[in-house]
Amino acid sequence: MINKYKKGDLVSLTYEITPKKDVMQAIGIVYKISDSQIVICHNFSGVHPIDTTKIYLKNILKSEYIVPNEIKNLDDLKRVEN
Amino acid sequence: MKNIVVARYIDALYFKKNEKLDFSQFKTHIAIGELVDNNNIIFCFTKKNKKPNTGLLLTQESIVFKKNKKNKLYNFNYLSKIGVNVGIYWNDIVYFVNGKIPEMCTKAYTEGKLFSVTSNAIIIKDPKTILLKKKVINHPADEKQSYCVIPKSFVTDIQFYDK
Repeated sequence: MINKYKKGDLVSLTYEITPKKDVMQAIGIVYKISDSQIVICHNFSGVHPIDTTKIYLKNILKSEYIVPNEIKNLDDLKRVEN
Repeated sequence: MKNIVVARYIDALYFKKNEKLDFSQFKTHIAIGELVDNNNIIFCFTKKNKKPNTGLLLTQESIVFKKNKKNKLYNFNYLSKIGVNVGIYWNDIVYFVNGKIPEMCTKAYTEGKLFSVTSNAIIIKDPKTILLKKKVINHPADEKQSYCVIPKSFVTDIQFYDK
């Protein structure tokens, strides 16, 4: 499972949190990975993470690699579908 | 997956009491998330049961575009006002948690002495910042600050109180 992700991958991970059985989704960059958990970073200041989410690998239900669009001007915002 | 976006943005800076003012430029932050509202530019970082749970509300002025629009306060002659007590009204970006998506940016008011002005920032000494919500809240809530650095593009109005 660990080999599936590597630092710097852009991912969307769907996972469950027990015992409530809520289904969560986290979007961001793989920042750290260990035998049991993965840390996803959602925003950075330079190379320093600001917001992160820790996820146990065993709780991951679905993973997707993502290719985000960069917002470079206001028209890019208008083009994004609601 | 069509709404996954990356944005580069800047945010105001606070320096704690006794912390050296170390500022030359705003660091560019990078956010990755799903755009859930393109009018208020709301990014969601995590979802809980398919609903946005944590994220960020950015203003157009906080996003780093190739050409940012400059408001009239950009070209104001601040140099003659150095050392003067000022009150600055500005729009702050908002982090949200627990699914509490903000409807709009936070209106903030910072009062203090005009310490310095750079090409894109206003530096206030001994600032007191309040968030103008239904209930006035000190910001940051728990610590006294020595300096506050506000991007000029965030500023909506300035009041000068004495010379």
